[in-house]
Amino acid sequence: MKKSVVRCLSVLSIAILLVALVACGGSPESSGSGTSTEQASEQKSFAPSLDTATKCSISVAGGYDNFEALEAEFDKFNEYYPDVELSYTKLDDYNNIVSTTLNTDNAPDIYFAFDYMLDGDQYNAVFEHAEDLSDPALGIDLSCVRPSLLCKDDAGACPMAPIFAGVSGILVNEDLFDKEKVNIPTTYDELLAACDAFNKAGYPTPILCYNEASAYGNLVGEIMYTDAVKNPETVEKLNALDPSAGEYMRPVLEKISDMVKQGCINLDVCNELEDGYNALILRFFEGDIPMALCSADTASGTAKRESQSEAFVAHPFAYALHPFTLTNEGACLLDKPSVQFAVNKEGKNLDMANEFMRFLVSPQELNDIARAKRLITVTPDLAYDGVYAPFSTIDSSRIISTREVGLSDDVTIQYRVAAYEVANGKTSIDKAIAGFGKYKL
Amino acid sequence: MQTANRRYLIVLVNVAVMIGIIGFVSLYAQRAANDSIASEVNQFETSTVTLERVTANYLEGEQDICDVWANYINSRPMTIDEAVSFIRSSHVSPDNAAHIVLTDDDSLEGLSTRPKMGTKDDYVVSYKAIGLPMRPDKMVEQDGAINVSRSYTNPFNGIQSLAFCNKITLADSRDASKMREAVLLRVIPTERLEEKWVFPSDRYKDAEVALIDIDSNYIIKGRDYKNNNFVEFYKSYNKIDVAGVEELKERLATQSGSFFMLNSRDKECLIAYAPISANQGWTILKYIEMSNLHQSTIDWFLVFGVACALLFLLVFDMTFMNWFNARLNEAAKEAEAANRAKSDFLSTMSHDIRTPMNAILGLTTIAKRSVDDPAVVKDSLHKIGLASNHLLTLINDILDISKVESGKLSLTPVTFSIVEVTENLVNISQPMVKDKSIDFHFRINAVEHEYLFADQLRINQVLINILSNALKYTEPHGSVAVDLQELTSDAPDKVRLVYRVADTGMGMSEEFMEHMYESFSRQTDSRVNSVQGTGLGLAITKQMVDLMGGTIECASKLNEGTTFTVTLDVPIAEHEGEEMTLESVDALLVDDDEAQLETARYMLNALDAHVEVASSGAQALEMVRAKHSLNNGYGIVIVDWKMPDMDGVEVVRRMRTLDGGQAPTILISAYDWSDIEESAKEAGADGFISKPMFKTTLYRAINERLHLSATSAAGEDDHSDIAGMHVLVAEDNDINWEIIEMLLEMHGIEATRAENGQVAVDLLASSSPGDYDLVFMDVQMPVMNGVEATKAIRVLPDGRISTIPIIATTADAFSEDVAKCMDAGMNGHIAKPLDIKVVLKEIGKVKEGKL
Repeated sequence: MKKSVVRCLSVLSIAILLVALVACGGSPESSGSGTSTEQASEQKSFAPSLDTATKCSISVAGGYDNFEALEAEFDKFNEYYPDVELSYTKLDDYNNIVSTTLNTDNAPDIYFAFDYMLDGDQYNAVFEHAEDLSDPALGIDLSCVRPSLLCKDDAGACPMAPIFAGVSGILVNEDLFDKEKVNIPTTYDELLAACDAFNKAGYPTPILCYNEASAYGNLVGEIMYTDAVKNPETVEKLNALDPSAGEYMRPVLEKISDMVKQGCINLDVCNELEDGYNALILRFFEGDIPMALCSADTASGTAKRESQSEAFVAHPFAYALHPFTLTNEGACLLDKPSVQFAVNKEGKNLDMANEFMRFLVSPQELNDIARAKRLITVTPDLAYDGVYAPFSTIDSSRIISTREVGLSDDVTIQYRVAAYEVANGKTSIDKAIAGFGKYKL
Repeated sequence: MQTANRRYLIVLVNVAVMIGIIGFVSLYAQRAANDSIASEVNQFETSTVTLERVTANYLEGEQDICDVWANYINSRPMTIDEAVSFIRSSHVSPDNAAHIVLTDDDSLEGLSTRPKMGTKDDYVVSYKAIGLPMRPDKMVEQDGAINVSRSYTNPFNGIQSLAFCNKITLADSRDASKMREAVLLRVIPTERLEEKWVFPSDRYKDAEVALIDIDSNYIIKGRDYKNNNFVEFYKSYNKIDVAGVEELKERLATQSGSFFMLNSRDKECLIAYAPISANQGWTILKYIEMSNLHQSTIDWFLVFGVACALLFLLVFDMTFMNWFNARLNEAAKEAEAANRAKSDFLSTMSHDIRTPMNAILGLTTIAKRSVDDPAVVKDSLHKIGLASNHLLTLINDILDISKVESGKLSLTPVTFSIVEVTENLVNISQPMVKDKSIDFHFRINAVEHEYLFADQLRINQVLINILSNALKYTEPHGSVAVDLQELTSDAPDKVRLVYRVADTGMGMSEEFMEHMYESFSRQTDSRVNSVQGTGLGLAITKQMVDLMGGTIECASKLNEGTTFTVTLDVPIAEHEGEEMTLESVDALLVDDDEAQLETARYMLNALDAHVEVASSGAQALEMVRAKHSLNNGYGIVIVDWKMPDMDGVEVVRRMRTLDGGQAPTILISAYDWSDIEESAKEAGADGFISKPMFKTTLYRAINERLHLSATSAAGEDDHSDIAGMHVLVAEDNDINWEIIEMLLEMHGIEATRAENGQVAVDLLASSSPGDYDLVFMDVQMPVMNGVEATKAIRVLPDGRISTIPIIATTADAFSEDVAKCMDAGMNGHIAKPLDIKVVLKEIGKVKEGKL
């Protein structure tokens, strides 16, 4: 009995010592490294191919004011290459300045590139500096990107890798639909019915949108592209801005006119928005807007602004970006790349830039960066983020690659301006059609 | 129970102290670390303020240049071309440029002092796309004010830049009378400013700097600053409410200081901030991860070491405490056992001493009252003698065991005769053998060396103890067999004596045998209780055998008997015996014991005698007759007394009736022959030999018979030759003096008393040679003890007196006492109580000149 008690006390004291030592020995560094290990294990598919002790700097230039999602990827990449300094720089007037910057000593190693740059000579420098990312020697796995998003030049080279996809839709206050017992519309008729129900319920406007011509692409895009797909022979005429091609705009202009007449969009309410991006989200968070027409770029700002909205903080609600359709055939997904990354082949640290791209272009990282930025991923996994999950229900046959359709940016401008004019009653449908080829933003 | 509680308390206190010390060390180390962190933070803040000063100086310097240009341009009407030309001529650094942008229309176009990137002559610059990086209406116009733009992309070269601005007024190029409003921008790459941020040492090499504007937007940012706005960066990774955000912005804009935050990797960082005094609204931030700033000053090795040391100390203390307690318990038990043993000893002694004392006193009383009845007196005196002897044995044993247990028992080797020892052994045992009619056999086997060098007294004691035990615990008519064998020893110059005593006594139980060598251990048996004994004999025997390097083994079975075997390696003495030979002697050996017969024949052969043997009396008579018929005869006939068909006396008687049966005859007996002496002599026996037979005794007996110089066995008791001798007895005790005087007087010896040693010395000094034949010297006496007196006598001037034999008569009976006496010059030692036989023997030796 005596011995057992003494033995217990001895064991107890040893245990206390060990616990004390372990507790004392635990440092913030060690807990930090534990997190790193977990992160590293999550990314076990990536295996560094360069000396992990390499010291260098990698700069990424783009047009985003804030790109924390990319900076988070920097941190993850630093788990493998701790001495690589990665930085993101926003260039003012990016589209116009990027070519100039690429010719300076301070040219970025990686930079934003866009589909439309392929069409303009002023962007030649962007692609002259761009490396072919499809080169097998680089080991960049472009197969994890939806094929409809991949852009290749005439020589078959892939000068840029999609990082985010662009999409338009309606932000839906799902709680309001539940409250009013209205189904979220999946056809044009359902949309009209829903708008009617909300109008009858006294909501300020069933659909909120930023009433600027540039924002009307969200309205016209679906019909514009589906018609072009159905009638590919029209594309050439449209791109040539042939005035006779204005007639192709009639279906969508009639739908928009109809929508306004049916009270789907209360332009007075929309005109109260001073800032299209920020104001639209905050107004939506007020909680009395059933639907807000916007792009994914706008939807991406919702997460950060939830806390900025006192109304939303006080009365949070469930919302998501749903496909928007003006047809009764169901919505299409207009699949187009938003931001793409090009690698400066004259960069000072080209190998490490390629290594970073090899790291980033993977399902895990592309989904992570899209989730962090709250944009649609470029991987086939459209349901990765709840806000965009509704788009995963779209049948693959209704996914349209805008790049493959081949409509120029000028065509979309004609559609957007014409739609704006008609919606705001500034002109008739016929006159709007007659103005085709003359509109500018 | 109380001891156990105390032990737990000690352990708990130990554990508590140990935890306390570890806690103290940890807290102290933590406090030191906190102090260190506070110091680091303070120094980091100071370095940030220093950086702010560097930045402010740089901004002021750049602004001054811009002011000089603007003042010059404003001091006289200049067209935009003239102004640009003027500034171009003032340029020093190729990285810097100046833009003059007209602000009185929406074009925001102007001229640059340097051509557009990639061109040689395109100087037209437009801020239409990006807007002016600062609002002209916000510019402060007084001298010394810093008007610096946000960080922006220089539209002329795509490089991130800052612009120091001033409003200027220009003359219209097409209409000199018309004045145009414009802004002069001194455009400098932000890298230039970053280059100013050089840290004085490697201490903050991992620190990163950012410059933020009034809205917390970065003007310049290091790589670990996330977002495009510092407050947003803070909010992304740290919890803060709306009020906290406002408070943070306020702090950043108005005061210097520092705070901790988590970065994008969830690591703690220190942010030091200092508003740029030269440009209201700008704040410089310095950022460093705590892991880079503060290397833990807590010496965990020390803490671990202290913890281990304390743990070791605790375990060691507990172990030592347990060990020490066990020792204490053991010691306590031993002390308790010793105390109990002492009580038991005293109780036993009291009992064992009182028993013979009771007999002595009681029988003395009986004798006194029966003075008129000689038979009763004689019987009483006889029993008193027995009781006295037992008492003496008991006292001797107690003293011996005391010496053994105190480790003071030492051996005093002397040259002695194993023959004498054996004879003595047989003599001593004879009375009991006869009393109990024990069938006693004593065999000697191959004992070649008579003289050995060892402690005779102790060997004698061992042999006697074992044999006396066998005799004591053997029932009447039982059997005791003794074998003494000499073997070759492994050690050089030694013989191995194997002494085996087997009896048919009551035997011992296994339980008793386990502790039979312990003091005062006697088997619990009614038969044992009837036997006198101290329970010390075996203990003493075992100790002495061990002391002599021997072994003692015992095999016993209850009610069947016991066999003790003692094995001793004994050095052979250098003493050379007399040359013994019986050459040309024809001897006839008669014994029914074949082994005895063989031993005796072996001995006689060794003496060169011609030996014939007969295993019975009848055969012997036949052999005598046959020998005579050949006109020959035996030189000597040696006959065992105890034989089954015909005893030795009868053989001798019949042999004497035969022709030729006149040869000298010697009877061998294992018993005291006094009972048969008369009939044997009458039958014609010429002498006697006691078993066991040694070569020496055999030789002497035969030699005496053949030379007709045989000494009667009874001669040993003949002390007539010592009558008339004069002995000086130094004895202080009156009774002792009276006893010895009476004993000596009984044998016709005259005794003179000296009351102490000094008197003895004086008497001898004043005597004439021949006045005294020897001195009996008591040792412990007043005035002068026996040892001192002996030494004094030995130095007396008269050599004939100083060499007088001196024999110690003392109760100091230990071997070292004997040695002390011998060292003082005495010639012999007799232990009290005095045995008159021993006394007379010693006197006889003096008479014979052997001392």
